[in-house]
Amino acid sequence: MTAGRGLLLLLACTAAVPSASAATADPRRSELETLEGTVLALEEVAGESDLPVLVAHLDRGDGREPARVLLAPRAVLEEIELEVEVGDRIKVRVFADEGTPFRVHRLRNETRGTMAKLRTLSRVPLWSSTGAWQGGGPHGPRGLGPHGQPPVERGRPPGGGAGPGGPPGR
Amino acid sequence: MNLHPSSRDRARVFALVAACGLGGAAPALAGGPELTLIAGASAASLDAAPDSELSWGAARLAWGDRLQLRAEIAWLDAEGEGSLAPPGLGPVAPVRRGKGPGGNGSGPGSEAAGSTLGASTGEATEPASPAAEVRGWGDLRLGAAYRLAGGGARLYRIDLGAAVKLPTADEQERLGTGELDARIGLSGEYRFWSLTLFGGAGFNHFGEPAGAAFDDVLDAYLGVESQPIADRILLSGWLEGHPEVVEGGGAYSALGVGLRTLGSVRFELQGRTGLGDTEGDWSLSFGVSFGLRPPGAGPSGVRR
Repeated sequence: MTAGRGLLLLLACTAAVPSASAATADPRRSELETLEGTVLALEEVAGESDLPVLVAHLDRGDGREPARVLLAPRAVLEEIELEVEVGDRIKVRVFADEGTPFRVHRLRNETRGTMAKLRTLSRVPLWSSTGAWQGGGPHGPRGLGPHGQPPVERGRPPGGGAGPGGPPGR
Repeated sequence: MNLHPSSRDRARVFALVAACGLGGAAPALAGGPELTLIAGASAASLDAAPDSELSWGAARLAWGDRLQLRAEIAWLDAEGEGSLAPPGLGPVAPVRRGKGPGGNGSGPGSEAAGSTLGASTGEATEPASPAAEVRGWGDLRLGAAYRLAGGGARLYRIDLGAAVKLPTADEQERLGTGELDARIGLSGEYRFWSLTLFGGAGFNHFGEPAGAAFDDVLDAYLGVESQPIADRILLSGWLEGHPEVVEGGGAYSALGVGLRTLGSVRFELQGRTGLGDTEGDWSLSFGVSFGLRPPGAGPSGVRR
């Protein structure tokens, strides 16, 4: 089998993975909007499961009224070391079709060098009704991925060889 | 009667001790054990010689996050000439037949990979048929990785990893070299808003069967991965390579592409195609991972 045929097979397999192609056309993504700015103030409101959830007032620097974005319970943010404080510069992806405060899908704190997903695309929070974080790592548990774990165990043909996966070889 | 333990016997004892150690350490590691089942196939064109093809099924058990321990064993089905199970682990490519002196199979690469492997046991061995198909258990691989910095919500991560390949496979059947290989390396990543840059480098030491000469080499890889698409699918691409392991065998370099999913049951698909000296080589693998002791699924089924 040639490398070309191998890649064709890979592409065929890729297409077979459930919803891989559909994912890019996910209608839920059309409601997402990216906001960036400085946190002017923080407050707590009753959020999902009636837990107090942090709301950040975001100054986007364009003279518009600050955007209110619904983050997560303060304890959850502390647990995953994703703290947000007044003065921090953050970037958020929000569900923009809702009224304010916009629920945040993903949060990046540029000031503190942290980032995590807070809700699924179905807008389900990644913490339990008791406030326990259930979202795993930034990309879920370390898996097989090309960088999910040290290269030594990455997909390499177990008989030998290599890769950040394995060798194209034997 | 030969009362001297062979390298395989010693490796099996070592593996048993290591397994006990892993079992003892498991309760101290965060998170439950995770099982990964992998299936794959690869082929390498060996200059004028026919392709060597290898397919395998493997099971990998891993514990922990900040400190992660892993053990892996595979069942191999291989066909071709020379060594079907080349030395090394991690980003180390197979030993290729020499392209220099004695290029078409008589170079140092073929000597190392061919009939001399059995000599490492000190037993008189008959070389396997050069193009025979063989099946059997491969070498046991043990590894550990420790997160030096970052991880979690941080934008970066740096891991120190070490691994050994224990010569538990039957080298007379060319399912292993009969020698212990080891690798130590660093891996890291940096997450941007839309993609993640990842890379790593390591040092590889190869045990040398009698009559073989393997160069210890550094390896490196660098690539990018997308942010999760639809909360679930990540696509990646990378380059990997290292200098030649056997004189005249040529350097190894390859382009890899991958797809993996998130969730309580995770899938991964990877493909590689050789570049330069390894042009024409390819490999494909498919893996599925799941926790053996799920700590509870979140609202989206994402494991903690």
